[in-house]
Amino acid sequence: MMNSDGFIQIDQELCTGCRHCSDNCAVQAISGEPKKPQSVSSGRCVVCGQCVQICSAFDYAEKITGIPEQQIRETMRTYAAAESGFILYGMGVTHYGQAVDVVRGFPAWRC
Amino acid sequence: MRGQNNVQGACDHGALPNVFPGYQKVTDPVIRAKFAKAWGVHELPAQPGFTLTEVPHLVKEGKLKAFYIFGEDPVQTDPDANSMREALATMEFVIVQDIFMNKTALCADVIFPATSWGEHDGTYSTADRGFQRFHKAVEPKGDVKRDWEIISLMATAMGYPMKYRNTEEIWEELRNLCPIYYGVTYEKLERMGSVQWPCPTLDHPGTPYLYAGNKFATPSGKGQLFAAEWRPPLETTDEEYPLVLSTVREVGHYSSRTMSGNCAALQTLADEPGYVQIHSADASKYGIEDEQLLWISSRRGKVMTRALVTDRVNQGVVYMTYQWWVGACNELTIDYCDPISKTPEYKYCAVRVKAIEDQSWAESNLQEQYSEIKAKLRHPVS
Repeated sequence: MMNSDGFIQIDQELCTGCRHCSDNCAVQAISGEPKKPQSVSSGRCVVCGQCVQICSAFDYAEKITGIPEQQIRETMRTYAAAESGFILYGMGVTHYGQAVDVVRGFPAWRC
Repeated sequence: MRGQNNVQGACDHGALPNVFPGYQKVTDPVIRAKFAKAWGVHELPAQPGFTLTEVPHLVKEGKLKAFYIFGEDPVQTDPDANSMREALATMEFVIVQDIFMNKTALCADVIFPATSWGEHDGTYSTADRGFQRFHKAVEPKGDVKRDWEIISLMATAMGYPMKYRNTEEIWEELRNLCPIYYGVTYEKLERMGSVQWPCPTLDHPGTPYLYAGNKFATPSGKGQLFAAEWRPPLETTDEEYPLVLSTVREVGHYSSRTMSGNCAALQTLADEPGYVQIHSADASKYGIEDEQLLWISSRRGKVMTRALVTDRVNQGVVYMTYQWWVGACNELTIDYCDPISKTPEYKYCAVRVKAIEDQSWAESNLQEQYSEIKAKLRHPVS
């Protein structure tokens, strides 16, 4: 689930159908069967972002990195909410076959 | 952060395959014409060149026949040392210009001895784009020349007369060709200590923050945001090679060790064959004790190293620093690069460790390996 170009999209491959987002949606914009990918009504959605905050699909990052999902979220929120800040990285993030994507991805944390 | 000091300076000065100094694109005909005119040549190549990590592949394809290396030790620092040695052996001509002998110099046809940082002057660029002046501290010893003098002599010998009296003349040429550096003079650097580019005019104070007012160097002036799906590393672990190798750095030595490996004081901090950091659970699983010598191998090579058993590292992952001649981790690493930056995947390849039962044999074998390398480096010409 991501906030992109001013509206909320649900990634149909990542969505687990847990419906946490739907339970938290103030305007009932999210619909779908349990355990199946959900969809957002762009007519109803007011882009409050509550669904993005609660989305459990990011759990997959915990499996890859070994870093607790909650810690990843907290770090991203702290960075996104800071008045100014920057991510200081050594060679750790660039010494991979997927290096440029990662570095380019940092600014997106602010969004 | 940069991997070495003045990597920023090297990039600022155009030591990248796709730009002239000052990040001016080689593909731009107006820029090419400007540099061709200043350098008194008819034309300059319109296509970007190649990156270092592409060299072994280009040699195999027959596209590269000669290599002029200075201040770099690719046999030590590039992934899959075997493939780099093979590339250097296949090439028709290799020049190495450096301050001490190293493993790459062993593969060279010609070696140019150069001066170290304390023996010449110039500028450094900090990671935040700040130019700083530095000055010679001692007179160079022996039959050595400064890098820019060697390059000038080489250019002249190859039919392009190049003559500078000092680094300020080179700097003046640079700033007059690069609008973003134009306002940075040696006089200003002495006065201000550091000047950050862009500094387009002589009375400009330099630019501490880029993209002020959220104006970015993109066609639209807006920042571009990216999201990408994660891709796994190329070589993942399996039963045969169950551990992940990640290459890192340490306090005692600097980069390839060309600069720090000959320093007795630093040798007391760490010496050959270096260490592999391994979690205590993994160490006991493979019957390895702290400070013991062991074999570590991947699909590409096998080296001897010493165990540093520590729970600072994760289980299933081992760490080695890349400067050691005997415990050379780049004999193990994989030649797989990011498609855009061409940076190798130094942080991930599959390895296995094997305990050595006879530790006194291992200790004497280590000394033999070390002496053999030193003897080769002392007598490069047989």
